[in-house]
Amino acid sequence: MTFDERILGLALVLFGIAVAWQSQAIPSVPGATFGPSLMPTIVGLLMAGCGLSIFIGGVRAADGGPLVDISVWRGHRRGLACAVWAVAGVLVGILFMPVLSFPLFGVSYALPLMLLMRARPLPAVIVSLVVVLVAYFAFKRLLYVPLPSGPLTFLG
Amino acid sequence: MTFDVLISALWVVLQPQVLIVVLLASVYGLFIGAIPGLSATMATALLIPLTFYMDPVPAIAAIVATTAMAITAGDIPGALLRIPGTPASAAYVEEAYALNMKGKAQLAMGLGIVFSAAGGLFGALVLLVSAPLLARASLNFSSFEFFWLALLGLLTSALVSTNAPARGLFSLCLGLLISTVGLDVTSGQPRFTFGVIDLYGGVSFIPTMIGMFAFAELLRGLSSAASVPPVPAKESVFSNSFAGVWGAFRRYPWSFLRGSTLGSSIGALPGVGGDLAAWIAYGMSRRFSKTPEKFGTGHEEGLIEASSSNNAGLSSAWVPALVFGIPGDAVTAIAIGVLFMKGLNPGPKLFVENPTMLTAVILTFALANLFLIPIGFLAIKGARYVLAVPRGLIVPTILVFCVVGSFAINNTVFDIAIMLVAGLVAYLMEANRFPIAPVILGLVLGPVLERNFIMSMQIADGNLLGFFSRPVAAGLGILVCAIIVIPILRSLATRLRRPLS
Repeated sequence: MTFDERILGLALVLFGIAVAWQSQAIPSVPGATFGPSLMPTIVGLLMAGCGLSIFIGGVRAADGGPLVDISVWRGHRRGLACAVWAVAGVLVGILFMPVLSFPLFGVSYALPLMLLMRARPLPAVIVSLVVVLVAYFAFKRLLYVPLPSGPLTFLG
Repeated sequence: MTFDVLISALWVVLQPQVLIVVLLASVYGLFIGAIPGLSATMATALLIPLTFYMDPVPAIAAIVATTAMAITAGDIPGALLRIPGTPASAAYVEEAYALNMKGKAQLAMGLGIVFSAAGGLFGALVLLVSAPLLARASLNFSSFEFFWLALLGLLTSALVSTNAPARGLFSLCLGLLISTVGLDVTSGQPRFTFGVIDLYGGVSFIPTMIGMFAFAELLRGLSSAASVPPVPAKESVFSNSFAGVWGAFRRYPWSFLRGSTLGSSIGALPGVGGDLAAWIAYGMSRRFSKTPEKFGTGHEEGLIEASSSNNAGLSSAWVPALVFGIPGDAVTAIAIGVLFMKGLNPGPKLFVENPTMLTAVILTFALANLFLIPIGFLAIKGARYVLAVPRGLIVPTILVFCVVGSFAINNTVFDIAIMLVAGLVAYLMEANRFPIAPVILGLVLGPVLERNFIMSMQIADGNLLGFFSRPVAAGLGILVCAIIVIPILRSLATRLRRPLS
């Protein structure tokens, strides 16, 4: 997904100004000349400057193209479906992994994606199970990472 | 250091226990480093519980071997999938990937492993011979020098990674902005936290890196814009894992020497660490090259220089850590903690009280880098199977590791959310031709830059000329100004010349 340089530049100018503006709200330390707002203010102004440069470049090179170009996904419905699943699945993981357990989340996330990506069913089932269980035991048992086990208490 | 001390230290290092630990740690480092998004720092942090049960020398040997192997193995997904394993390998990931796209994946990985090992040995030698001298020189540095050094690294990354300076600079600013999120270290004031408690500690670096380099790359791969690298034939590409490496060394010996020297010098500066070295080395290689136009198209020169500096910096980052107890980077900070746990306080006294142990620790760097070659050879052989695995199986597998790797840093799902947001932002940025690597470097070096900037401003009482008041600071400052001004002057000169022609 690409944006027209003018739209992009303008958005970045606004973002930079917003950062510099918000930085002014950071409380300063009494007696300190250079407080915690100095660096973010400079960064925000630099961002706005970069945005302005991109905007000016866009105005000079305006060729009447679309303001937002999504042609990269057009005609690739399966790829788009995979991308949506990849993003939505992580969102589901953020919300439900602590309850669902990592192994259940991992398999229900990886297996449909593998099938969507045209992997053969049997290898997909085997690989998704092996990968998730290896990741679970390697991190939980060897590296002491407390991955959620949810209802799968027998896994330890 | 006497000859007797060296022999005693060598005897300690060559004990079977140490050798086995180095071997296992190398394999572990290889496993973690080769998985995109899992970094050397994370591998080291996760190793720490195991080092509780080890003596000081094998404990430090394990950390060193893991880090060296993970960083080197990070070049493998960099070359094959354009996903760097570490911030340092991000400096030359485009170059390695471009070589892969030319059907020279083996050469890209072979160069990475051999020159990492050679650079690491060079760095170990520097650490062994001239550690006190280098540390003494960097001890004289003040916040002015550190500020300029950090800025030099950041600007180099922003200008090297793209031909559009405004985009590179914006990416860098985004990284700097993210680094300011959380409680300000000096004043304790929250910045850009918007009341979210999880943000008070700042935006976690590793989930951000996993999101920006792994998740975004996988999303890009799912679109039609992705160009799938050709799967090379076994015989043609992986028949000899190190074919072409010697030839590359003969063509570019100065790149190796310059990269190793630069890496050793920069890595030895307290608080700077080795990551910066790879970026500066790559930038320098381009500047000094007779064929700068070939950079970014799969050129060996920059790869050699940056790989060498990478591991050389890794070794020499231990100079201030061991001699003065000042960590050069996150890994040495962890290692210092381990030494304290073992009752060994890093500092000049340690060289006097226990020179054998300290020399043995230094010799483990040489050992770990020597192990890189055979294990790296196996890594390249194994990499063939990564290419042979159907994409439909490998992409979801990497995504699962992205999730678990993000979670493992702070054991919270909030870091998975950071990974997701970072991935989406990076996807949009890359689609709109913004480089990603400067964001990560800005995020890592942001606190260093800000701390030294504020300190310098206070010392100079707001007078910017104060930043040039010390000779080394003035030299670095002029160099930074030249990096900013020269491209602008060139651009102006080109514009002025155009109407005439």
